[in-house]
Amino acid sequence: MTFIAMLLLAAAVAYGIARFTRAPSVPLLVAAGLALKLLPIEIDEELLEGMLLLGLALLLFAAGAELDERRTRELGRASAIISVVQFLGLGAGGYGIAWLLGYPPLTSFFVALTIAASSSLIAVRLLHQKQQFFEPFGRLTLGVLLIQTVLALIAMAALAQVDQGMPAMESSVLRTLVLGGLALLASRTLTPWLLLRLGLDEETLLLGVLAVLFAFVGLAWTMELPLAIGAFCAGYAVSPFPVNGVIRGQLRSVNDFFLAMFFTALGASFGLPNLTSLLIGVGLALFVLIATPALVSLIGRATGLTSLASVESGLLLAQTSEISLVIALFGRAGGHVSDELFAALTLCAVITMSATPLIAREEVAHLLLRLHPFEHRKDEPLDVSDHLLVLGCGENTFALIEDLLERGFEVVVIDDDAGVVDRLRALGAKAVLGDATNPKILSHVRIDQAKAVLSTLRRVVHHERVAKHAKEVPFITRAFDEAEAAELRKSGEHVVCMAEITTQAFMAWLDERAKQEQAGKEAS
Amino acid sequence: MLYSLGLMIVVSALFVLSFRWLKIPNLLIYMFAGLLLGPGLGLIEASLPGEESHGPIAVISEVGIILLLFLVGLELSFERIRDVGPVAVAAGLGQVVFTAGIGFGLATLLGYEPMSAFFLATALTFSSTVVVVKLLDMRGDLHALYGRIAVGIFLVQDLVVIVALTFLAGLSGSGDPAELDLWSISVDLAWAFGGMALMLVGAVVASKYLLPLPFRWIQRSSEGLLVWSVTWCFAMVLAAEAFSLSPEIGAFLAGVALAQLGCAHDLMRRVHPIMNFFIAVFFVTLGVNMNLGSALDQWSTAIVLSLFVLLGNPLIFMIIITRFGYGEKTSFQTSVTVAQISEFSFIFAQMGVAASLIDEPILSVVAFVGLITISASTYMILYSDQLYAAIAWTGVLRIFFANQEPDVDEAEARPSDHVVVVGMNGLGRRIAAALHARGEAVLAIDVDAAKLTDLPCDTMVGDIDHPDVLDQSGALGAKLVVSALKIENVNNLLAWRCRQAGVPVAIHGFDQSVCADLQELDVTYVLNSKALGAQAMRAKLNALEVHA
Repeated sequence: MTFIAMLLLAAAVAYGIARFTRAPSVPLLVAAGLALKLLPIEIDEELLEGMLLLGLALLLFAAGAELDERRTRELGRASAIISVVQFLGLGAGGYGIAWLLGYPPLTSFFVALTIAASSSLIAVRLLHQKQQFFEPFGRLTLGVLLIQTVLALIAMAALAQVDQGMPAMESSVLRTLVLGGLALLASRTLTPWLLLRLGLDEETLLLGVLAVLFAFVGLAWTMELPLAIGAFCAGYAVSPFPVNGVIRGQLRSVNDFFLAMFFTALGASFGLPNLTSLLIGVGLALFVLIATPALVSLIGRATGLTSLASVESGLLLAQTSEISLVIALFGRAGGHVSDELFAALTLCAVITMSATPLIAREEVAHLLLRLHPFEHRKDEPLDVSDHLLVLGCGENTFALIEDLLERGFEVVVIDDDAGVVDRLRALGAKAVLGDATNPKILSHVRIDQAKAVLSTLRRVVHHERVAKHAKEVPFITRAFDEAEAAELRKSGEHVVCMAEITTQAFMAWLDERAKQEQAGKEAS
Repeated sequence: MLYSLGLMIVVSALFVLSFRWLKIPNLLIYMFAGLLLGPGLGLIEASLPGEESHGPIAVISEVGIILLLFLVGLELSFERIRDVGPVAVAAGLGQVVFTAGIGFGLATLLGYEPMSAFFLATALTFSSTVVVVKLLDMRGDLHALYGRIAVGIFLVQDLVVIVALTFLAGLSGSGDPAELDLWSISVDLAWAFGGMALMLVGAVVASKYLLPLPFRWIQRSSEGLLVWSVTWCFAMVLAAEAFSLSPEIGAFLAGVALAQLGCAHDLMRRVHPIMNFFIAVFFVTLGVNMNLGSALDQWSTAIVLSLFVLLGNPLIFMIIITRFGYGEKTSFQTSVTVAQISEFSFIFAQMGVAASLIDEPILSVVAFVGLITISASTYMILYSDQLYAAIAWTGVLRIFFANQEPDVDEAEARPSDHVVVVGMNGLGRRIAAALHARGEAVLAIDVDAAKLTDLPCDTMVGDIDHPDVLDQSGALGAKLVVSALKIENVNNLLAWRCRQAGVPVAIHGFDQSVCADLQELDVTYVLNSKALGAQAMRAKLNALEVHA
């Protein structure tokens, strides 16, 4: 019991620091677990292993439950290309580094796989913190992470049989696909019946969810697959809406508890890193931190994203994944990864995960943008004046632009989506593909000669940045709530407060509804 | 470990699903699952907490008990029992005294030596808070008068449990019963009571001065709040162990100290699922370790003791509760809630075995009595209306001279005909204030207590994803539910639940990409803030007299 209390205490300290510094909790939890090694406490190895296995199962289960159809159907070509190229590119780099360090091919392969994928836990947390889930690059990043998780697990299935030769590896991948097929079948039949139609109480619901998890882990065990694959497939079986939503309330606390214990136990499960692991860990971390943004920003731009979105995605993906830790753990259990290398790989994860909030920032993105090869172009300014400049164009802004064009305005629009730009050109607007906060592009569209600027950009900081270039031109922006509106008014903007007008529209709808109900009663 | 755990969970789930129609509480089914997996098929070997060979499963079981006591502590708020305080104290204490006394006599008559008789009597005394609260919840009667009296009584009994556990901790301090003497018992009791007093004072001081500020700070991180509270619980458990007290006492006091904080309800909802998982393992393990053969050898004893619990306990309660002027039906329904022994009884007996104070067959008798009484009382509670009607018809209940006038039930009604507004961002706060100004009864909900300050309407801290919050807010019986949240999956689930319940729902379509799903889910009104924003920008352009 003392050991559990110590794990919890370490986790509590990690969460306290995470809350104070707004840093992600995962690396802090691992570091706190590692710090337990410095205390004179007896580590219960059996319990530690149990916590790791249980935490691992729940971690992968939660990852699988994220594969909601509503999310996966939005995966586009860009997500697929970026995820595969990043996975292969980083993997090749990792293999090369390990090979240069003198590790045997199989161990090098584990190193490659460990640094190839990025962390969902970190990226999702940052996107949530910055409310960027629904920005194009946010959706793209989520898509990339989902595909990478699947790739990593398929690779893990193959590695599970690596000692048995190629046919065994192929058979293992095939069995993984069969288990995935069973999960798909369960997601259509068993889980909706079990978790929705039976109307279970909360306790039984949780029991049912955990039974699905352990049943798939059992199946994976029977099929000689790693338990991680069983847990992930179980998660996929409960991923369709509304099953995933109904179980979320019950599962969240259990997950939060066991993930905290898992990462702390993981930290406590390896020895303090020696100089070699320290050097390897730092070297791999530097590689991930430099290579990922470079690779993703180039590929992203080539697939049609704007330079800013590509760079931001690259920065957000510049860390190794929690799945990587699982793979490293798997390699160590199989004797392919030494304790020293395991410590280095964990250290690499801790460094890159901790660095992500520091580098995934606007300022860094704009700094890197200057180095972007696609940005070194010299477009001539558009031959426009007295035009209306619209910054950013979502679905709702299309109607507005159409109306403005009908009223005879010359409308120039900057948007970072090539598809949107094509649609706008078809409408008759002058559309420019690019980042609307980029001074070069603003100069290209002659912002200072516009009649007015309408900004539908998502972030307050973007409005503020553009407003500086608009000078005397009337600048109309929108803010979500009064706090944002007050911030924007400071820079002299004409602000529409969406919370205010939405409330007015809602109250008007309520009044209308009440009148209709009254009329209905009178008529009857 | 994962193999045993997986087997426990999967078999328990199969059992629970197969026997749902019998409405047996899950914990009973867990024990049956354990009986099958352990003594039945020999698939699992697991030690109980307190035994010397402490495997991971035993640790999980022990964590379950700790979290259960922690939750009971979190529930112990004096506000909840103030109005039923006198009857709860009298009935709670009275029943403990009478049941323990008569139980001791009965056990002695059945041939048990004094220590075993003491443990049996004490085990018969406790009723199960968890079983009863769950059954009252199933009936939707937690807020009914008899439900509140029952909860009050169980809370008083929980205090008695603490005293009993303290005595046990003191008694088992020296380990070997043969070496027990008055002096060592006195010293152990003094050490345990001294520790208990110190921890009680510590808990009170912590709840007033030490905990409020840090917990207010951490509660904006949901994972942080959960881990901090469980860490606090385990810190108190370690302190209790240092005083030779049971871990349960530490956990209980840790819960009480946090119960006074604003985040207590939210915390209960978060800890509850974790406790459910751990405690399931505990009850399965209990079944695994049950020696049915030895229990069946003593079936007549178990039947006699079970009848005493099923009939004797309610009888004692009827006598006490009717003296307080409560109506016959209220007294009857309250009384049948105590017709079972508790999980504490198993723990208590198991601790006695672990401390070598009693023999293992006593644990089996207690488990057998538990199986019988929990099963029977489940049906007694679930069908207490029909049972009362049938017994009242015979006229037997007149012997209690109860008040024949029905009680005015002042139970809190679930809010109804109100508007629930979820998500107190800038939009949510505006809508809640506007609806309140319009004269609507508004309940504003957010996970962050800080966002609920200064609102003119009723407020509630909680996550609308959680069924408890949905239930307590009365959202599925509301006039209208509004969500201003910018979280797609939470909004979609709320929309789905409301439409299933036929409740009108307005959801924030904060991005065009989420609006299609909301329309597919048939929400009554989409708060399309961006579309409205675009219209307002056009109006602003006109107002600024910008022309083509």
